[in-house]
Amino acid sequence: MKITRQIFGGAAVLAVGAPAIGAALQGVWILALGFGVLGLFWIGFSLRYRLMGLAFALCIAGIAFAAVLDVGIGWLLVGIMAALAAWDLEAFGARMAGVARIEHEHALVRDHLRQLGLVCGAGLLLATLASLVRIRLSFGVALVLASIAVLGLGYVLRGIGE
Amino acid sequence: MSRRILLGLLAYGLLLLGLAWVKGSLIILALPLWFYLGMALWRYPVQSTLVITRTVNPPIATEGMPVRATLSLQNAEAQAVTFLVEAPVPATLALQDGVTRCLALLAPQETLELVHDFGARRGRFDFPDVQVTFEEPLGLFEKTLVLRLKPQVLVLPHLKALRSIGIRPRRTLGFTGPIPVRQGGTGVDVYGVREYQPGDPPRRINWRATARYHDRAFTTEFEQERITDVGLILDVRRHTALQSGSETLLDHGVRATAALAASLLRDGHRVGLLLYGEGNQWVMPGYGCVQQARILRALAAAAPAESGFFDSLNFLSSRAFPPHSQLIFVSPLALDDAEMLFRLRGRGYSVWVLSLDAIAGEESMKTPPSRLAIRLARIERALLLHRLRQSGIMIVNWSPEMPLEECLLAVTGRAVQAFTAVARWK
Repeated sequence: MKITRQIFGGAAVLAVGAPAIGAALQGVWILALGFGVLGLFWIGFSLRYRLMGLAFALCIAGIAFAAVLDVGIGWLLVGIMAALAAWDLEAFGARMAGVARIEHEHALVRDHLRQLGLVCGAGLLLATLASLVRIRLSFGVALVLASIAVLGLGYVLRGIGE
Repeated sequence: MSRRILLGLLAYGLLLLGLAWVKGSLIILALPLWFYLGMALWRYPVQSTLVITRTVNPPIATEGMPVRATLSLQNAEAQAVTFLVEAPVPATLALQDGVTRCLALLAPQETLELVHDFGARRGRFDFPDVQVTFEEPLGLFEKTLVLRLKPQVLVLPHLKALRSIGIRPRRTLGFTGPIPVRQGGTGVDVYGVREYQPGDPPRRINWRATARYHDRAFTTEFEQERITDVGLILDVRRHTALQSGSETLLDHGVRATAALAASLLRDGHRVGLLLYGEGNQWVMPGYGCVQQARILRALAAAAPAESGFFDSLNFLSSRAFPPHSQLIFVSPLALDDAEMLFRLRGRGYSVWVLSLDAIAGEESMKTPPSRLAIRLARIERALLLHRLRQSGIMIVNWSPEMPLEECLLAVTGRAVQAFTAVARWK
């Protein structure tokens, strides 16, 4: 559990720190400051499970805003992966804390960290590779893709809910 | 909002924003989220085979005995499986040791045991369903199985040994027992002397009387002792199950009934039990240890019952009891119960009332009623008991703080004396 907390702390710092540095390098100081405040909020209230989702959502929203402001994609990718890892570890910690007995705790933690590392590493690699690919989309193609995404949203959310 | 919904919304939000803004970096940012979601979905649903058993030891216990429930889960898969098991226990059982929620990662063929120790209280307890939630490794999707493992624990009332109870009903059965029936025959106590009749065993010849006459012989007769039918009636009506200390009067009544049943059955009587309250729950009369077990099982499940119909004692079915048998009514007594008891007495039953003193319990409460109220209640109760005594009903006025045997002896001792006096007078 201690290692999970430590990794969570590191991931949360990275999740707000990397986009903040990117924003600072871009000269958007207000956004960098916003990430700093968010980082304090996230780590300060990390024990409250209900606020966990909010902090993650705010972080993703901030990163998206930074992307719109043309902050370097590398910083943002590191931030988003770290945010994902921190959010996952926080939920994992809350789940562990909610039960009175854990059988093979170390093995359980090790297994989860391995899975998370794999997913984050592969996700980062995929996103990095994708950032190297350049495809020009016309407005029409973009509209079709957007329509498919909107239609698919309902199906996926319904599927996830079930 | 669940984690998967949040993640789905954020991933879609980034994708839609990227498409709307025609901004590739936003779509790229959405990719790790999609990958995470996809990996979780890929590992779902979780295929797993668990062999689950739940045992309770002992399944039939006595009040105060420790009871242990063991839930055993064995992973029958060839790969490790992660799951959360929730095994709630009946709220009315006092859990002394053990956890009800456990998160586990089980290796193939490994077994997890959840052990719960209870301090047993009287009653029949069904264990709630067991919930096993399987999670994919990232914990985003889960599958919950509800398992209806329904072991039952029956906690019998504590059985206190009582000495033989001197009942004197008007009708007895043909078998040998402890009740003297004022008839000559086989027995222990000398009943009288009569003239010798052919067939009398020579060892019964009364030589002292025979020596006085030269032409006749005399035989000593012994008083016959027989068993009888006893109907125990336990009052389980809710309005009489008042609180007395940490327990209700019904709990005390149950223990008293169990002790009476054990004592009467030990003496060889045929004993039946009626739980009056929700209906007429009846344990047919019988003999011996098997009957004792039946009665204890019925008493274990006895609980205060709410019924508009059976609130009054007027619906007590006297046909359930053999005519002229012994009835023992265990109840704190309500004021309107007297009429039915008079009727039973009128029909020839020998009626005893083991009346639990509800007022003593009220007095010991944290905020007792006013002294005047208690005094009035005592007068009312004394009048009721006096009326019942006047009609020939034997009253054992028992306060649960006092030993039952002491109260019974005080009354049965007097009863035996009165019986002997009447026999002499006759």
